[in-house]
Amino acid sequence: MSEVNFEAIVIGAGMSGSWVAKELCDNGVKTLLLDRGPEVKHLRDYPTASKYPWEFEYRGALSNDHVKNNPIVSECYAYKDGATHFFVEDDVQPYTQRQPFEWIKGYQVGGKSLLWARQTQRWSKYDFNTPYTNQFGISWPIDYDDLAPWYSHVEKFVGISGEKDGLDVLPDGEFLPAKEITAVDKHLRSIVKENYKDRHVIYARCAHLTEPREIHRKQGRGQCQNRTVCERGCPFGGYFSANSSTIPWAQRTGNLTLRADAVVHSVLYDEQTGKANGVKVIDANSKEEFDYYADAVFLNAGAINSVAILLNSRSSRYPNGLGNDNGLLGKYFGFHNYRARISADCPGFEDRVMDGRSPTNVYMPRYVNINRQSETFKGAYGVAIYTARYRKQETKRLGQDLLNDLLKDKNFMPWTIYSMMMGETLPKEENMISLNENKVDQFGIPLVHFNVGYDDNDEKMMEHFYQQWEEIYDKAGFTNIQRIDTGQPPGRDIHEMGGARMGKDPNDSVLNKNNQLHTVENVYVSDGACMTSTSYQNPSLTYMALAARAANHFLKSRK
Amino acid sequence: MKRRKAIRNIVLFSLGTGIIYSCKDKYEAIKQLHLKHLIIDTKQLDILDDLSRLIVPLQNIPELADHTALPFIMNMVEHVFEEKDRQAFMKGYQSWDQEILSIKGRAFSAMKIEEKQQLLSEVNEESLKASQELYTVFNTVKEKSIQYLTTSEYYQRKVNYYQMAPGKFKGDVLLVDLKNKNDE
Ligand SMILES: Cc1cc2nc3c(=O)[nH]c(=O)nc-3n(C[C@H](O)[C@H](O)[C@H](O)COP(=O)(O)OP(=O)(O)OC[C@H]3O[C@@H](n4cnc5c(N)ncnc54)[C@H](O)[C@@H]3O)c2cc1C
Ligand code: SF4
Repeated sequence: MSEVNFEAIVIGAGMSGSWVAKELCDNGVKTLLLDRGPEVKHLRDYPTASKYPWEFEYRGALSNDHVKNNPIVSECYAYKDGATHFFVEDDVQPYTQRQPFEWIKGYQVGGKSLLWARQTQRWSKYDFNTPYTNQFGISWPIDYDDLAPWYSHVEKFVGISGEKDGLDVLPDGEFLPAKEITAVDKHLRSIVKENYKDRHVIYARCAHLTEPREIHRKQGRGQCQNRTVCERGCPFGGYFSANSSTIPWAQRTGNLTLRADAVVHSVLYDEQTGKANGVKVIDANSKEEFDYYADAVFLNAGAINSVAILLNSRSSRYPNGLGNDNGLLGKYFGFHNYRARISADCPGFEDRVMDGRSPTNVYMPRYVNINRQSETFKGAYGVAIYTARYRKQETKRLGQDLLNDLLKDKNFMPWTIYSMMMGETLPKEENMISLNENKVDQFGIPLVHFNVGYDDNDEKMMEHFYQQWEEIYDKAGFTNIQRIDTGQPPGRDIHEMGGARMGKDPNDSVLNKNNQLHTVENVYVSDGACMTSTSYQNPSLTYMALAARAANHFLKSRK
Repeated sequence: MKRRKAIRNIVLFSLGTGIIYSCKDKYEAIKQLHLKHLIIDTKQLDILDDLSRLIVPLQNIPELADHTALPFIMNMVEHVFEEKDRQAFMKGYQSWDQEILSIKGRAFSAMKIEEKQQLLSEVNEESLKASQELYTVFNTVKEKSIQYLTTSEYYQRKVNYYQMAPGKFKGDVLLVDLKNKNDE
């Protein structure tokens, strides 16, 4: 293999791309893994991982200048002192927009897998089927049964902590033991069980090693120590990241070439063969251009960038972007509606507290619009539920009296609850990303242009959530119930997906059931760009399962 | 010789960026902040230092006897506060002594400690008729002094029993059990 020729090229060394690389390398394929960001080596490149809270100059806050210069990324809850270096500052890759969109990026080897909140819920058959049966989308070309073995495959390797709940709306997976839940979580769970037969409060499945197995030890990972500063990188490898798991694994096979600081400009298309034959890359530092060649190209640059790369891959055969005969590339772009929250106080558990910190929470899977559309809105929502009891600080007095109050033995505030709707958004042609033909970035690549917004269905879903959860809180005896609409624009959910959707029919979709471009079969789009609909679950487990499945389709096709 | 030159450079640099220092070493840590927005002289620093020590007397905690919250307060206001809050804070400490003089007939810096304490409890109870900026200074110094203490290593370890890697998370424990465990 020469330095520029490979059997496969994977664009993007994040959550999904690292899975493609692992699968290919495990099976002897000489693979080039490209990432536009710098190398981040597990342990070596986690400069803040072991910093104590008091070692941060502003005690976790960001400087005003920093926030002013980064109004978009500063809105992300995880963008805090100690983790900012794993995010992309706003001016690095600007974009244009018709309606407000917050594009939160993490460019480095490992991508956003370093930063994620590690929530990992499977999709069910309802999530795949209802867009079509309830008439708000096209039919997925695959269903739950197609993906189930790949979920299992990924879960075993990643390590998912969870409980077997036996729900068909949220199928069980391959679980490590669950972490403990709080007294209020338990109370809520029993109240919901008593009052609703179709609603369930469950432990939110998460990618933490609560009891590492042999396969995790082989990766060099250990048990999660409940530090809850995961976004700085975990010295124990307690949570799944590409950096701690899939990438070093692929490297150990000897089949992987990892090239950081390599900005993919476009996919190269060979008019003679009717196939892609490589990629054009710009060195992020020297701006020098290179071409790399391979039998197949996998796009895993994150939904927005994968679509942008395809749109920018123009040839005389494909003047509007590779595989874009029907003009749908960039359209049906989706996200999750995270605007609606509801908080309350939870009197009655004064003798109970938590001891330590948990990196996860509890969760309610979808409970309406399951077999048929039963509500005035379409689609589903789930609910992430956070309960906590914080230390109380008595700060009224002054001097020695104040000091005594502050140093007093544990005093606690009442328990509180905060629940967040995670809403499916409907696939719509007008929600789209495109290239801005008039503006280019520092590499001469056209900027991405967003036209993505909420609609009336999103508002109706929020109203339903508020009403239902006011009722649930009321039954649970919670008080001071507050509806919250954060008003946040799409994007802050960081669950961007779609734009190159899978489908059965080449006329209404971009990819086939194996994540291949309908018309260029050696190009796979195996990240969130492929999503035909959004459902409501945190999507990365599904992306990883789809990526592993696509990689194995390529392996099979070579035999 | 070298060291003296370095110190002189700091003072010159600081003057250039809007801070007037006496040669007191007490505020060395503040000099090192190279404040650009906040203009402050030693007398005003003395007032803020006094306020902080009277409100949260760190000096009474043996482990923190040599700590002062003042550099932290100044750093937070300089870098984390928004411009309008920073301006209000600055206006507040620049007129503090004069305002107290006009209200009480005696400048704050000329007061005995008991008088200062009495004055601060009036401000704390919001019974003193004073400017918005005076209250901004008081509330900022109080809030940030508390934050300095409660996020300190001493407090986190001794009072919050902070552990970087606690290992276990227990979701549902009895408060008494937690207290007993922490007393062990
Ligand atoms: C704070 C936060 C919390 C989250 N919580 C969750 C959660 O709990 N559960 C969940 O499921 N998801 C969560 N997510 C989302 C999750 O991180 C993403 O879904 C996931 O990382 C997407 O995987 P990906 O491979 O598509 O993209 P990424 O992981 O972002 O990787 C894409 C990679 O491609 C590279 N790249 C981009 N453009 C180019 C180019 N032109 N050339 C070369 N390389 C390129 C990037 O540098 C990057 O490394 C969260 C994200 C964040 C930031
Ligand atoms: S919570 Fe677990 S995974 Fe996260 S940093 Fe801590 S030990 Fe690592």
